[in-house]
Amino acid sequence: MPVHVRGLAKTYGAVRAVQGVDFTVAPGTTVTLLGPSGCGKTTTLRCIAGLEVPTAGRITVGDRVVYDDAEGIFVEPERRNIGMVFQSYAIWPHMTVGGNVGFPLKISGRPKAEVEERTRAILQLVGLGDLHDRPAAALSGGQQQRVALARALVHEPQVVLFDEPLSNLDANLRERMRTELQLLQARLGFTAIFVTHDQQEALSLSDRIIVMNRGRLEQEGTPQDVFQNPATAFTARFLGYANVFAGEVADIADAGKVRIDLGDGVLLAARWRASEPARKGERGTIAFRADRVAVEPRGTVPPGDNVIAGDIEAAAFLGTFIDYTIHAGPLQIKAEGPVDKPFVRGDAVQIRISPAQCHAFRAADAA
Amino acid sequence: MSVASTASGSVRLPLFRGHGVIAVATIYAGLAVTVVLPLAAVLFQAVVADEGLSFAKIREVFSSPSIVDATVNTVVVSALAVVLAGSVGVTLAWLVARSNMPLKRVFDPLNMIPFYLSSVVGALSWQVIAAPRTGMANTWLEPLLGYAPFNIYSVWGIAFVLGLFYAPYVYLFTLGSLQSMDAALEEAARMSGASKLQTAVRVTLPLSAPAILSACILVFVTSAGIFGVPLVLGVPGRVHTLSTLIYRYIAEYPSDFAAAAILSSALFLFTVALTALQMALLRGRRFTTVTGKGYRPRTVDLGAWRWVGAGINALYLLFVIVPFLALLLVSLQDAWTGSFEWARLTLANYHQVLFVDVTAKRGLMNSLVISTVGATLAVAVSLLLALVLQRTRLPARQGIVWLSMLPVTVPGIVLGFGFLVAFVSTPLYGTLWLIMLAYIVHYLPTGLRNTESLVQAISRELDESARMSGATWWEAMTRVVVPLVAPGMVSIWLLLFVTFIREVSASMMLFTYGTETMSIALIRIMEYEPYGVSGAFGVLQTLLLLGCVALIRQLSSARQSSQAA
Repeated sequence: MPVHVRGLAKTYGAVRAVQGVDFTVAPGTTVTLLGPSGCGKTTTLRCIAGLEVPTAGRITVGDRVVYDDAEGIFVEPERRNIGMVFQSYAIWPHMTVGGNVGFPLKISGRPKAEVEERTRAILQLVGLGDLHDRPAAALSGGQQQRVALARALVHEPQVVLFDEPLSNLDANLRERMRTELQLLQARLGFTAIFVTHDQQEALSLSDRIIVMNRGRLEQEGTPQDVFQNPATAFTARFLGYANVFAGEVADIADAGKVRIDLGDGVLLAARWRASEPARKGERGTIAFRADRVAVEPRGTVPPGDNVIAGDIEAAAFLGTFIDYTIHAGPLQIKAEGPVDKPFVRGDAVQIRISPAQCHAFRAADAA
Repeated sequence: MSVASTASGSVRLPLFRGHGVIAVATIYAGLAVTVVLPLAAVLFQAVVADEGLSFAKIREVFSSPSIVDATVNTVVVSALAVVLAGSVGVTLAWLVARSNMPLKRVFDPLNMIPFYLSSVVGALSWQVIAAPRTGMANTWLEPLLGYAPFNIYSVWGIAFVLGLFYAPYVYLFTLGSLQSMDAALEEAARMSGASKLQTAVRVTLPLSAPAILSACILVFVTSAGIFGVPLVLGVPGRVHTLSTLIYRYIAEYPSDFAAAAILSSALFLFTVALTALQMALLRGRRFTTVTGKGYRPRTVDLGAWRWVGAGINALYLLFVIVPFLALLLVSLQDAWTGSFEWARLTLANYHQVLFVDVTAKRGLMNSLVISTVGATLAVAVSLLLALVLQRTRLPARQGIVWLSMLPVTVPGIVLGFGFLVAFVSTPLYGTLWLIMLAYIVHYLPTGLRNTESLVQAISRELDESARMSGATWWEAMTRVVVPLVAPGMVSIWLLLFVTFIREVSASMMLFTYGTETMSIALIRIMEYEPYGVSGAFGVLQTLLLLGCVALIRQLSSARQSSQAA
């Protein structure tokens, strides 16, 4: 079942938590709302759930309007038929596991036998088949997570919301739950909307990612697209682009290629990512990933485009690679190098970044 | 209001809002009748005489010398009570929280016991010890000194008993503040070169100051409005406070409602002002030392002085316990001669109050009925209000908070008088229901504040997940939130029950023949029965209250251990 969000806004007093967000989630797919805390992602999710009353906009689930400010429609959360897994799991400690999971069926007045049967079936599916009569207060974190999942799925909602569901699990468990979630979704075919601040989680779980910042939609696309082609300096920084520098547009080549002057004669060629064409002399921001920076001994390649001389300022061995901090003119560049050819502090090096890996943005984007 | 469902089953906003508006309007109407109306009636009565708006009566009342005396007495009694309760409370709290005083674990719960007991019974038992001629301490010391040193029927006596009974307020506030204080704050002072004493004076005390000051204001306000103790200890010695004077204006023929209203308004405005000051203090200096984590701050080694500390604490407990034991002895004698005689041992006084004396029997029954039903209703109302305040987004909730919390500033005698003025010509007057209603309103702040903190402790996601599972708001509350707060609600019920059993002030204004409560019956019995009989009744009330205290402690420790599991 598709979910449409149009012009969604939510204000708390003077705080504008969400300001005009539009997106569509295709049936049976997974979309992740990604952003730092306070970006409005959880508020957006809670508006879809009906736990918050938006200030403006329109939300439809399937072909049913659940909120529309112009028409004065607000459907109470219990009537939206949406499942939700909460960050804290929200397992009711005064009930058994079966009592928790069977609650949505019981509350809708299903016959006892059906409640029992469907509860046991869904518990089987999430791998908790033998815990039906266990008091819910006596569960481990991972088990609680599964109970919360089973409860969100038992009444077969077409849309399931997940509010940072993996953030309270340890790394190993998180890995496993991630896979299981994908298998469950493939099997049950629900539409999933995730909220997370963890880029790894977003990249690995989603069909599409929506990056949010300050209550607005920053960028939307497939995980690969968003990761490889950040549309704004904010997205780049949030997705782990370690090198983000402010400069000035020095010259403009064709097909959206520009050179950014970073001061002290350091110029870097980059792809212009803003929708409007660059103007010579305007402020711009450049971003590139640490693992895209090649570090070589000084003099091995002739100086040229995007080759800068520098000195190793710090080197930290991180197992699969070495994390370098390189002092290069006005810049402090982060780079990752192979462990078999290590440099040490003070080494004279030169670094090279392919212009295709450098993203330039209009300075106003640099949030 | 248009109620429209679209084809897809959506409900339009007006209906959604409509339910809420009705609920909020109902709550406001209820609070208007039970909180605003009685207080407005008092203020109205104070400024409106028969011939219209008049300040002449106010001038007349405040130029009466007896009122000047009563005002001075009220302020002196309250100030002395604060000094005693404050010094005892802070000392004991520091000893228990921060020293290596022996027997801390035993002292801690015992120090709280006066909080639950009746100060009227306390006053009654201190009479046994320190009444001018007949008090035990006086009869023992008079031959030695040549004069009787103690007179409990004085400003000092009233303040002394109040101080003893309100020390637990200061103790509780200070203890809470000391225990929740991050030990690192004090350790940082030590690492910066401060001595133990400097640390205590420069860091520990300033951090606790808002809590201590706030508790002291609470003691002052409560002492200024208290009625039972000044009635028992003040009236025999012709020492009047504002509250006993208000009572006299109404009880003595011809009653002067206007004067009572003027004094009540003055007392009310005074306590409101102080309570506002207390709230301002707490708001202005909210240090982030309270994290909810149970810090175990390092204790100060007192050396041999720790036994002195234990002695101080034991002395406080003796001051509470010994008079009750004296009262117990008195109640077991067929006539009190100033000392206990085995030959006079009898249970006749208990027989008298339990089976013979009509007022005593009725008082006991009435109080049990009022307290049981009243505590139940108060808990139900508190829970409903707490759920509306904490778990809805209905408009105008802040106003509900203010109105529900208003009675905390009103002395019982003033509230009782307000109920009298507001309801005297309704069929409610002269029934137990009116007294019960006054109790519920007066202790609504206690019930609501405690219930709100229980509800706040339940994560919102627990009921939100019920909503997402298809439960309506009401179903989410009754099936998730209410079961989770239920164990805590039992403790609140017991606290209110205890409070209602010993209530004096409002009852005094509202009782009629046949609706005497336990405390009223006790005060009546003191007037016409020998000492032993009122002693027996006082002992019975104390045992009832102690039983409840034991239950409260039992429940809270059971809850803590189940949370730990």
